[in-house]
This record gives sequence, structure tokens and C-alpha cells, in this order.
Amino acid sequence: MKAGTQLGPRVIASVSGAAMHDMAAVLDDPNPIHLSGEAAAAAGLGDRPVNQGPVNIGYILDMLRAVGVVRDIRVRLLANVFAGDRVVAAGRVESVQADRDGRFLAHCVVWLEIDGSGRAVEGTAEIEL
Amino acid sequence: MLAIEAGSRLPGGTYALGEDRHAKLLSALGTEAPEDGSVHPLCAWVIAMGGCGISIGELFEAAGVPMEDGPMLGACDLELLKPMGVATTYTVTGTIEALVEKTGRKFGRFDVLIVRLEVSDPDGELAATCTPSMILPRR
Repeated sequence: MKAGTQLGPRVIASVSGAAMHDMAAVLDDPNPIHLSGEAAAAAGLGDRPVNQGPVNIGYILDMLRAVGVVRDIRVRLLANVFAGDRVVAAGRVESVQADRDGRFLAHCVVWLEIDGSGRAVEGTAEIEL
Repeated sequence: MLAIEAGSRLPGGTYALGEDRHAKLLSALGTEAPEDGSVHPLCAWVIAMGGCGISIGELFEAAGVPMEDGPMLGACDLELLKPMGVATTYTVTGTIEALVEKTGRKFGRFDVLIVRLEVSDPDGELAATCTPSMILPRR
């Protein structure tokens, strides 16, 4: 693992609308834009249910935990992910450093890309190798 | 009702994730549980928000934003300081860090609400922090 190492990809072939219902319960988030296309349309967000933002971050976290232990992630959410979208979580190592306890920490840039329409999430992460 | 202004403290509380919620989260992400018995790192968000003493819906209501207007997550900083357990009861405290008025091409007038949540384990040690920035449309 060194600067420039590519992380991922972690591919979600089709974001599940049914999973959004489950996650609405887990997150205690009753926002109807996650539950029906009609509600998303009423909010001016297209005609498909909108994936929960934390779940989009979760795809990136899941990609990172294949590499090491995630210590920190800082991200901005740039676009909505909709039911049926194909998304890809990936990243790149920017540097690797040892901390005072001798642990090797990789500083990374990370993102979640929607097939054909750009990034939905981007930011940085720190993982312990 | 909670005053939505910088410095306001959330009610806080306790939260245990539980096997059922963990299983649903893993299924939604299409992934497996960590081999060391800890929970998926996204669970830090679930525990922080679940234990802060106010639901997302109540928080938006206190901010005067109906769910129908489409409030959403704009950014998040998640610090994971210790492995977290599925059955462990965590204590959560929270503070509103900022409420910032903005205007943008995409949303028109909106506010950004930044909340900092701290999650402590039963020994009182900090296990995670969660600092979401939420976009509140003002229509």
C-alpha cells in the first residue's frame, strides 16, 4: 500500500428500493422521498425513490474496510442516488504514514460515482492498515 | 421544543443497535458482518442518531422544515475511535454546532444545520463522533 494505490471498486449493480424501506426503519427516517417515487417527484427530485445519504456513505465505508480499519471519513454529498442506479465506490491512497503508536495510517481520497452521471459523494478517509 | 441554534444541546440518551437492525443494514449494503464481531462502520451513524434523544423527523420539525420539502444530508464527518458492539448500550450526547443561511442555484434559499454527536461506551470512553451537515430547504 503506497501513494497512488487505487482502492475498490465496490460495485452496486442496482440500488434497491426495498432496501430503502428497511433502512428507513433502521435510521428512523420517515422522509417519504426514500419510500416512493411520487414523494420524490413532489419534492422536485425526479420520479424514483431517493437513497438515504448515510447508505451512500456506507458503500464507501464498505469498500474501505476491505483494505483496513476505517478511522475517519469526511464526505460531501453532491447528488442524489436513485433506486435502480448502478453506483461504484472507489478511492486512491494519497499517503501512508506511521503514527506515534507505530500504526500505519493511509490517507485516501474516496468517492461514489453514479454510472453515467458523475459523483454522488466525495471526500477523504483515514484507514489503519 | 428544541431551539435550533448554535450551542443548543440535544436531549441525548442511550442506544443499543441490536442484531435485527444490524442485519438489515448489512443486507441493504449487500455486505457481510466484520469477522472480528464488531459492527459495520456505518452503524456509528445509526447509534449516534438513534441515541441523541431526538429523531430526524423531530429535528427537522423543530427547524421548521416539513419532510415534504426534502431536507437531506449534505456532508458528514464520522470518526471511528473504537470497534463497536452490536449489543453494547452506548451513551450519546449532541450539540448544534451551527445553523448557516445560504442561497444556491440548485436549492434557492436554504439553511445548513451542523450537529456534533459523541458516542461513548459503557466505560465512558469515546467510541465515535458523528458530525452531519443537513440541508434544510426554505420555501
